[in-house]
Amino acid sequence: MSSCSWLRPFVPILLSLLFLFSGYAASVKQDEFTILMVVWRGCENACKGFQDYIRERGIAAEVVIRDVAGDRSLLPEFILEAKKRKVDLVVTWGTSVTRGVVGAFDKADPGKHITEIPVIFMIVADPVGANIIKNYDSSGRNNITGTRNRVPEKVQIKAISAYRPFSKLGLLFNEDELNSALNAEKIKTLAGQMGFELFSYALSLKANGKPSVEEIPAAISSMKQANVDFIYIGSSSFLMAHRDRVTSEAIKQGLPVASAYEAMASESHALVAVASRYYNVGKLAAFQAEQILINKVPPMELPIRSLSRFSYIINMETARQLKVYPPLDVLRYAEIVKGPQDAQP
Amino acid sequence: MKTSSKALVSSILLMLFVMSLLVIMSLFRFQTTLTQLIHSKLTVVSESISDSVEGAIDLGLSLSELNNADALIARGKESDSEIKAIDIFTPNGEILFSTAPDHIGNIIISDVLEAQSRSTERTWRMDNEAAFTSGMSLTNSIGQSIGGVVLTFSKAGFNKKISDLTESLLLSALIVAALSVCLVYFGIRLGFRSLDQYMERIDDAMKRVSSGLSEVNITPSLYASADTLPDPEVIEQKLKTSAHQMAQAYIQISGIDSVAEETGELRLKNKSDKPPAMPTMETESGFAHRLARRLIIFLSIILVLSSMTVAGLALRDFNRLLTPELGNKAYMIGRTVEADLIRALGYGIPFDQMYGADRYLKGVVNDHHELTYMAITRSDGSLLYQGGVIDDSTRSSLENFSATITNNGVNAVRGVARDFGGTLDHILPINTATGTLGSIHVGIDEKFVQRQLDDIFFDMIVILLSAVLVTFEIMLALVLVYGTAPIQQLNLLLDRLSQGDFSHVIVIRTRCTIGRTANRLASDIQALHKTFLSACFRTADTAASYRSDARLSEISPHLHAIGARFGLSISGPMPLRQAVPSDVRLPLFLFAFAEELQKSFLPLFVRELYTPVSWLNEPITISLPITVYLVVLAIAGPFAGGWAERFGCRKLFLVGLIPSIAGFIGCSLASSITELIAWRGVTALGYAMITIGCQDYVIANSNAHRWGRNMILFIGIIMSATMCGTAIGGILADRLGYQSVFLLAAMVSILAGITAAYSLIDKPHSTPDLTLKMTGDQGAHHKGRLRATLTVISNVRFILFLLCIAVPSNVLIAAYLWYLVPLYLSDLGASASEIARVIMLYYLLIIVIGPITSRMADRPESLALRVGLGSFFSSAGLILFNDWQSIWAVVISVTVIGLTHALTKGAQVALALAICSAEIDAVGRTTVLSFLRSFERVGSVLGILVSAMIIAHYGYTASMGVTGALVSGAALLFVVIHLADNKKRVKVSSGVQL
Repeated sequence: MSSCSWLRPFVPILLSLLFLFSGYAASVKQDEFTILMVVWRGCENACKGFQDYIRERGIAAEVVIRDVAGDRSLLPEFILEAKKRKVDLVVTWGTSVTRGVVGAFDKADPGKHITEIPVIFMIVADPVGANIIKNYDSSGRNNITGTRNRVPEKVQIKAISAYRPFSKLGLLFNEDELNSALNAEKIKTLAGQMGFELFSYALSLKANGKPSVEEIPAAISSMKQANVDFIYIGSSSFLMAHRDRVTSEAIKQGLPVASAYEAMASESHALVAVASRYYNVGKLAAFQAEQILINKVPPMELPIRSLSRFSYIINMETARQLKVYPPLDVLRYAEIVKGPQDAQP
Repeated sequence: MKTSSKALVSSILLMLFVMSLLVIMSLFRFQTTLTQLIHSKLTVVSESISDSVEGAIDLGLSLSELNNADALIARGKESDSEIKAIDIFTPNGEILFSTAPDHIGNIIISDVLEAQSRSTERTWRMDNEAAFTSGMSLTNSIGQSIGGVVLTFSKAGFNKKISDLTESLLLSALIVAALSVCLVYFGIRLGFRSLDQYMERIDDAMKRVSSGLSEVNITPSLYASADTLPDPEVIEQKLKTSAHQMAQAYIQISGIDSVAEETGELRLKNKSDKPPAMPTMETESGFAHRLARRLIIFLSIILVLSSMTVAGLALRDFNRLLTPELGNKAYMIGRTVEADLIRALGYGIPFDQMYGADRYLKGVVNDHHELTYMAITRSDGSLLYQGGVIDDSTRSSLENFSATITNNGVNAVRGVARDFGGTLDHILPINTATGTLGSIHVGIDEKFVQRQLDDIFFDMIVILLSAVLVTFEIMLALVLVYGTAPIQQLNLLLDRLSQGDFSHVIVIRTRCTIGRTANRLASDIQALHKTFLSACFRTADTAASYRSDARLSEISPHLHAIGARFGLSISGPMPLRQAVPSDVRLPLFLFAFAEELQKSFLPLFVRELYTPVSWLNEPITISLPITVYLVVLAIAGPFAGGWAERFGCRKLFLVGLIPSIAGFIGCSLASSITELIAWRGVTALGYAMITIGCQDYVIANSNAHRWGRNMILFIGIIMSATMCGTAIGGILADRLGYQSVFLLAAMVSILAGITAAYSLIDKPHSTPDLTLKMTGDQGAHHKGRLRATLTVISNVRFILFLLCIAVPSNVLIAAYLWYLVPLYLSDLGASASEIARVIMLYYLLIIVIGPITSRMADRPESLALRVGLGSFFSSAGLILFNDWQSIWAVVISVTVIGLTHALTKGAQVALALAICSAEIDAVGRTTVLSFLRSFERVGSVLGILVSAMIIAHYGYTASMGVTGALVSGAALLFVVIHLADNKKRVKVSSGVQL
C-alpha cells in the first residue's frame, strides 16, 4: 500500500546491503565468540531478539547475560569482568547501563569504562542527547555503535494524522526528564513545519523536584478544555510508569492518547502507539554484532541503525470506547490489540 | 510489365507493410495491456499475502513458524483459476509453503532468486513461455530479506487470447487490404493512364517505322523538355531518321568494295565528323513528379481509410478479449476490499462507521487505472461509501441496481456487469454471518480498452506519414527508373542515332515498350557493328590488325572514316547511360533514414550505458557521442569531397557503407560509453563519405541554372529521411530496444548500398566542366585552401553572420533538438516514440513549409532583416516557456524553431552567398559554403559542450534558457549592426548622389 510507504523508508537501501552481507556471512569459518550483554531489568524482548538472531544466523557465539536489576552500582563489576574475560563484544541495554559502561562521548575514562572492546548499545532513547555518541551516521568513538529504537517524531506525527487528521495536539511531558524535554522541543518545531496547533502541558515539579501523579487528571482536564484532538506522550519514564493512570483518565474525559511507547497501547489504554518493537530492535543490534564479529567492520564505521518498519499498534478496546474507529486503510498494516479477534496471524 | 503494374505491386507491398505494422503494433499493445492486467492482478494477491506474512514476522515469528500461511496461499490461489501455484520461500530458495504439495521442501528455480536479487523494488516479475511469475520480497523489520512469495500464473489463457487476436486481426487486415488493393488498382490504372497511353503510342510508332522505311529527313532539334515527355511523333520521326541513317551506314559499308574510295570520302566529309553535342539531362522530369504527387494523394487517402478500418476492427477485438479480463480483475479487487471490510467488521467497527472508507476506496481506484470508481452500498441500495468519480446518473442507477439485488437475490446478477453509461459496474455482495450487509461496486472504465489503442494512435499517424513519404520516394523512383528515364534515355539515344552516331546502345532490362524498342535498336546496332567488323576483315584480314582502331586507319582510311562518321568500332557499341541527379534519391533516402533512426534516443541510450568517469561529469559524457560525431563530420567532410572527385561517387558510396554498417553494428553491441563513442565516430566517417559523395553527384550532374534546385532536392531527401528515420526509430526503440534499432539501421544501409550499386553511375574520367566552373580551380585547392580561408575570414560581415546567425541556429539544432530535447523529455516521462514525434515536428515543418519559402525572392537588405528576425524569434519558445516544465513547452519550442528555420534557413544560405559575392568570385561558391558548413559544425560541437556544462551545474531548464537567450541575443546584435550598417550605406549613397 502506498499509504504505509513512509513506514518503510529504508527498505531498498538496507535490503541491498543485507543481501551482500548475508551470503558472505554464511561462508565464513567462524570462531567461538563471547558476547557479554549487560541488561537493566532482566532479559526482556530486546535481549531475546538479540539471542534469536544469533541463533538463527548460526553465529557461534556465547551470549553471557549480566543483569544489574536496576542497580547502577553493579556496573563496575561487570565492566571488570568483560575486560578480564577479554570478551569479543559488549552489548548494553538502556541509557543508564550504556552511560555507565562507555561513559560520556568526550569524557570516557579507560580505567572506568570500556574503551577497547566493541560495544553495541540498544534501547537508548536519545543517544546523542545523552552524550553517548556524536551523531547517527557514526558514533564518533572507535569501539561503539548501536541501534535507534525511537521512531522519529515526524513519523509519529504522520502516523497520528493517518489515524485521524488533527488540528490541535496536546503534548504532555515531564520537564524533569531530559528525554522528555528534548522530545517536546522537537514536537514544537514540527508543529510549525507541519501546520498544527500545539497545546503543551509540562507537569509541574513538586518539592522533591519530581512531578506528582496527582496532577495527571488536572493535566488531562486542561487538555480537554483546550479542545485538543489527541493527547501525545512522546517520551517520559514517569508517564510510562503511570500509563494506566494517564490513559484511563483520558478515556474518562473522552480523549484519545497517542504514544511512542508500545506498551501504552498494548498493555494500557492508549488508542494508538507507533513504536519499534524491542524484540526487533534486539535483532537489529545482533545484526550490528554480526557486522563487527563476522564481517570485521570497525564499529565507528557502522551507522546507528534504525528499524526499517515500525509497529503501528491500535488498542481496539479504546477505539470502541471512544468511538474513534481506525481507518480502513490503516487496518491493513496496523497491529490490533484487544480486539474481539487479533488482526495478525 | 507496364509501369502501372509495377506501381501497383509497390503500392500493394506498401499497403501490406503498413497493415502489418498496424497489426503488429496492435498486437504488441494488446500483449502489454494484458500482461499488465495480469501482473497487477497477481500483485493484488501477492501483496495481501506478503502483508500478512510480514506482519506476523514483525511480531517475532520466524517464517517457518507461520501456521496460517497455508490458509493464506490457498485463499490467494482461489481468487483466480489460472494461478498455478503460490510458493513462499526462504532466502536460500527453500520452499516452505506451497499450494502445490510437491513443491514443499524443494529449492525454487534459480531464475526466481536471480530475478529477486536483481530487483530493487519490492515486487518483481519474470515471464517465460509457459507462465507469468510474479514475486514479492519479504523482509523483516530490520530490512533483511526473509525470502519471498512467488505466484505462477498459467500462460495458456493469455496465449489463447493472443492467438485469437492475431487471427482475427490478420483476417480483418487482409480483407481491408484486399478491398483497398482493388481501389488502388483502379486509381493507379487511372493515374498511369497517360504514361501507359504514351507507351502505346510509342509502340504504334515503332510498328509503323518497322513496317517500312520512309525517306523522311528531319533535323532532330526537339529535345525532351523538363516538364513533358518527348512527343511520340518526334520519337517516331527520330526513329525514322535513325533507320534512314542506318540504311546509309549499310550502304556505305557494303559499297566499300565497289565504290571508289575518294567519292566516299568526299561524301562523308560533307557530313559532320563529330557526334552531336549532348544535351544535358534535366534534373527530374516534372511529369514524373506530377504523376507521383497525384498518386501519393490518392494512396494516402486509401492508406488512412484502410488503417482506420483496421483500427476500428482492432478495437472491437480488444473489447471482446479484454472485457472479461477486466471483469476478472474487478472481481479480484472487489474481493480484497471485501476482505478488508470483513476484517474491520470483525474488530467491531460498525458497517456505517467505517472511518476513512472513502479515502481507502479512492486509493484503490488510484492504484488501478482502469477503475473509474469504487462504491459500497447498503442493503437497501443507498450509497454508503465511494471513491473515484460517480456522477448523479451513475449514482441513481447504482442505487436502483443495488436495490434490485436485495429484492431478487444476489445470484441473479453475479458475474454480470451492468453498463452505467460509460462505466461497467461489477457487483459483489458483502456476506457476513448475519446476512448480506450490502454490496461492493467496482466501476470499470469502458473507455479503458479504447485508451489502449489511443496510445498507438500517434504512432500510427507517424507511421502513415512516414509511409507516405517513403511511398513518394519509391513511386518517384519507379516512375523515373521504369517510366520517364528510359523514355528520355531512348530519346537521347535516338538523337545520336538520327544524326548517324551508332556508337552507343542502351540496355533496358524491362520488357516494356521502351525496353523492346531499345533492345531492338540495340540488336540492330550490334548487327551494324558486326557488318562493319566483317567489312574490316575483308579489307584487312590480318589476324593481328583488327584489334586496334589505330591500325585500321593505316590499313583502310576509308573504312576508318565510315567508322568515325557512324560511330562504328570493331569493339562494338558502348552502353549509354546518363547520370542524373535524381539517381541519388533512393539510396540517399534509405541511408539517411538508417542513420537517423537513432536520433530520438541516442542520448537516452548513452545515459543507460553511463558509468561515472572521474574526470568528466555526466552531461558532458552523454553529449560525447554527438560531439564526436559532429567533429568527425567536420574533419572528414573536406576529405570526402576530394575522394568523391578521385574515386567517383558510386564507389565512395559503397566504400562509405563499410564504416557506416560497422558503426551501426558496433553501436548495437556496445557495452560501454567509450565503445559507443568510437562506433559513432566510425559511422560519422561513413556518413560524411556518403552524403558528400551524393552531394557531389548531384552537383556534378546538374547544369548551372539547375544547381540551386537540385541542392534543394538533396537537402529535401535528407530532411524527409531524417523525419521518417527519427519517428520510426523512436517507435521501434520503444518496442524492440535501442540495440535492435541499430541492427535495423545496418540492414537498411545494406539495402541502400544495393540501390546505390544499381542506380548510381561513375564516369571515371570526366569531371564535368560545370563542377570546375563552380568550384573554381580545384586542382590547386591544397595550396589555395589557406588563401581561400583567409579571404573568407577577412570578410567581417561574413564573420558577423557566422557568429550571430549561422552558428547559433546550428547550436539550437545540435544542442537543443538532438541533445537537450531527448534528455529533458525523458526526464519529463516521455517515451522514445514520444520524443521522436517531437523531434520529427521540426523536420516536418522544414519539409512542408520550406519549399514554399524557397520561392520567395528577396533583396539582400530585407533578406538580412528576415534572417536576423527569424533567428531572433527561433529561440523564443526556449525563453518564454523556460519555467513551464511540460512536454507541451518543448513541443511549442520545437514548433517555433521549425517554423522560423523553415522560413529562414534557405534565406541564410542566400544571404551568406550575397555577403560573400566578392569572395565567391575569388575562391568559388563551394569553398565558401564548405567553410560555412565546417564553421557551423564546430559551433555546434562547442554549443553542445557548453549546454552540457550548464546542465551539470544548473540543470536542464537553465541550460535551455541560456541557449535561447544566447541565440536571440546574437540575432539581435546582428540585426542592430546590420541596420546601422544600412543607414551608413544609405548616407554614403545619398552623399554620392548629392
